[in-house]
Amino acid sequence: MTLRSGLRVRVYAHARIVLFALLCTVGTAAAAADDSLSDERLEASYNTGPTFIHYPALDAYLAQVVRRLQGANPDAAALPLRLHAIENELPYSFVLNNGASYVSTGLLARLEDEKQLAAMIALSLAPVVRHDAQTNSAEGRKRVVRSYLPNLLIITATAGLGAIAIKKADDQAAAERTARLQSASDAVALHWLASAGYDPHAAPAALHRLFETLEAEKRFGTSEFSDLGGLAARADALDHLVTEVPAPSESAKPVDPTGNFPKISTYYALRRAGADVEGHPVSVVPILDRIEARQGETGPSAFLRAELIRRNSADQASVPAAIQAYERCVAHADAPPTAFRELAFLYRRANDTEHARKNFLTYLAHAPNADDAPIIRTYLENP
Amino acid sequence: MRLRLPSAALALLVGALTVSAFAAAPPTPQTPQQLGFAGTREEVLAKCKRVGLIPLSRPLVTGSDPESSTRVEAALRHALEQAGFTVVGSDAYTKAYDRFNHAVGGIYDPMSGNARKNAYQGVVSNAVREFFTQEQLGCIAYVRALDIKATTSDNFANWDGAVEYIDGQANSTLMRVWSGNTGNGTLPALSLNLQLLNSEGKVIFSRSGGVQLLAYFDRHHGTTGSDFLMVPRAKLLLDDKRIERALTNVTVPLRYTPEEILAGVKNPAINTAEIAPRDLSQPPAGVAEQHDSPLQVPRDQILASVHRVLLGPLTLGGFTPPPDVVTQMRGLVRQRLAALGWEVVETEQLTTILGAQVQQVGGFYDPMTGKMDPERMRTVFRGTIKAVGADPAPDALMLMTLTRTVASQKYANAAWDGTEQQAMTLGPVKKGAKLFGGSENPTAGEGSVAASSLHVLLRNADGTVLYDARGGIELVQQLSLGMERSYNRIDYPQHLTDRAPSELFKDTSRNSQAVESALRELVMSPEQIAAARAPAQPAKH
Repeated sequence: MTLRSGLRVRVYAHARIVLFALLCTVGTAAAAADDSLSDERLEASYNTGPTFIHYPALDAYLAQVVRRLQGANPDAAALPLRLHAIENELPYSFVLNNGASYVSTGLLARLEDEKQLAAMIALSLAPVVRHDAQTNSAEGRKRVVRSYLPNLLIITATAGLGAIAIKKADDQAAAERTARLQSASDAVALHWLASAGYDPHAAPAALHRLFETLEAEKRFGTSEFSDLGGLAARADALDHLVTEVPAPSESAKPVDPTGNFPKISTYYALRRAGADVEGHPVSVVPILDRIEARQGETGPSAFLRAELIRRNSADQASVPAAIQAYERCVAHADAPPTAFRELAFLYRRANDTEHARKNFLTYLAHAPNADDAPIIRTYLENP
Repeated sequence: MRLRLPSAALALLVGALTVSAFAAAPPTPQTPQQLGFAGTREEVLAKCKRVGLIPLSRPLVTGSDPESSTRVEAALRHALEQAGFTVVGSDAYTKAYDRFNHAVGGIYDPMSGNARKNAYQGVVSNAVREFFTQEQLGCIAYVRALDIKATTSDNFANWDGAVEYIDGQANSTLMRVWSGNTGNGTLPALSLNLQLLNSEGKVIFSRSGGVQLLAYFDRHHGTTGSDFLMVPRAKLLLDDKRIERALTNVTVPLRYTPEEILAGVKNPAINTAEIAPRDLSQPPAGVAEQHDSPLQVPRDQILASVHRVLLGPLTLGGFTPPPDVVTQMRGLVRQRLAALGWEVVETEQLTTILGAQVQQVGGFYDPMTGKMDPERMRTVFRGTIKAVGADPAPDALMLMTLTRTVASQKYANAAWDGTEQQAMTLGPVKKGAKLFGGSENPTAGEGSVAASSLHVLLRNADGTVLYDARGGIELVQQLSLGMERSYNRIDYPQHLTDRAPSELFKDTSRNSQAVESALRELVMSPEQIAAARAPAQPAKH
């Protein structure tokens, strides 16, 4: 290589670095504009999508939790949060850069109390307020610029073989950067919780609970709060971080004095179990166990247990067990009317006309205007 | 030399070990779940000795020959009997269904003509229960037609045990090489799906078999707008061999053990993907997408019979356009209709009055069959015109709705309902490649993008539709391309992002263009339309 050609290489390399830096600057401005449009589009698509939960009372409750969290932490209030729920079987909590934020019904159904809900909101909000994504990108770009020449030399000297090691090192640096930023944001979230009067221990407890419930239901995802590996690692990290955060002097009462959170959580858990009877039966019993551990057996929970048994009672031999499960259900005052109808059909299968008739009549008394009421009446006329 | 022999032997041994370590593991039989069973194969076969057939929809696919259901049912019965089942016809089910349908006063909503979900479920589940009891069934068989996305690779489409040429042609190898179809993608295809259900409504077996493609990708017979050709609906499910192929694939796990299926991987009677498309008759020819005329009766007849028209409000159809856009569109429609010499009577209450009239007569549709009752329709529209109270009474009424539709795009240039838009930039369409100032991006291939249109419907005083047209407004999704590198090829998957409501209805020229397109064939004669489409002639000196 001559001196002239060596000089040409250096000039070319410098020009590329300058061009790269210029492109980064222009690119950053363009990306910011794109991100803002993309957030607006995402918010619109979530808010008009089929999974959006239109439930003003729930929105009002979520807004109260957000208000308490942001009211006690001016830095958390930097983003005008609009929190809504979306229907999803997996636990999600995320915040867009424009303040639109969402929790999934799968999250609400699995958390124990309002403290854990506040913790999940804080854990999602802190990285957005602290601009972790932008910091991560900026640090990544700096690293590229800083290591451009050394990397170029390594790649040239190793005839391209060094690129593999460089890529590995870059990936590791990116992972370390993400972990460092997440840890710093999690620490901020824990302080926010304490300032708002929520016990910061609720944060690791929430993640441990998500891990346990997902594992019991045999239901896994790949997102932040549904990936079992990620959940376990982050819960452990939070267990360590929380020791450095002073507990609130006085633990705050729930924002809703009627203690609505368990009702909301149970409602969505029951809905999930109802849908799973057909689609994912393995999760039904763990969900019902969780609900009954909180509030004991109720008509709706006993009904779903009976439904699960009935679905597996296609042969005549299993009919008595199904009858027993529905009888247990209808003993509850809040048993759904459908339980009487299914019980009647089971007695009919068992050739017990008298009990079948009695339960058909009870069903019609509870649901005289049901769509299938005229059909049930034909069974009474022609048993 | 003595030293080298053991070395060579050692090298051979190492080589052999390496080869055996890296050799592909012997194929294993498919699991019951992969074959379509919810439990084990033995459980299903033990349970389902006696199978009841649920009657197939007639037609099985909208627009197809209703008789094809009979053909599929006969083939299904044969396939199930070959698998060792006793097949019971659907008479008892149909009888029970009719009885319960009558008991609930009909499953159809007389207002919309759609089935009432709970009533329908009640009728079907009780009819099924009666079917099981009366016929002592082990399970029931339910067959439906499914629209599937068949994966394509170069010249072939593969789905649910079917293999077809993507262009639907019986071309020679040379022609295929020439046609240059390379790359991966999807094509719409038709499959038959069989479900076996137990007495508790639990699906214990479900499997699909591919019948035929619903569209072809054919560069030789495509148009400038699209290389996709649609198979006419009337030509679906007419080929007994393809129906047999589909139902063979469906019932193979019921006839053969997983081990037998594995052993028969090269046997077309077991692995239907081994049936080469050249061994089947040529599938029906595809046709370029054709747009029906919006004129439901001749234009002259409309112009002769309509002189005074009621113009309703613009129904927003889930969109949220600014009020000035609504005013602009309605004003333009009024203006165009007035140019025909029509007297336009505007009433904001038209849809409310119409709704009240529908309520009063109890809906247009027969609750037992879901079919429209023309007499009720006439009563509703006459009553509406009377209730508006205009004197003299209008001869017709026009309803306008903003509607979401699908635009097809080729090379990112989208075209629908008389308008065009670049799907990636959302800017105007310019024919030709980017290099020559055009807006085409060949990397985008072909596909579809959601769009908005203005739908106008002109009905006479009896409710008969005279004119039904749409004018495209703008795309409501934006197309972007990803990049997937795999061995030997790079693919560019399409991503569609919904645009935010605040981005829409901002271009007033697009809004007015939509009105022009929607009303073109009503307000312009065929000669005027042809003159408007002809390229401008150079001025003579």
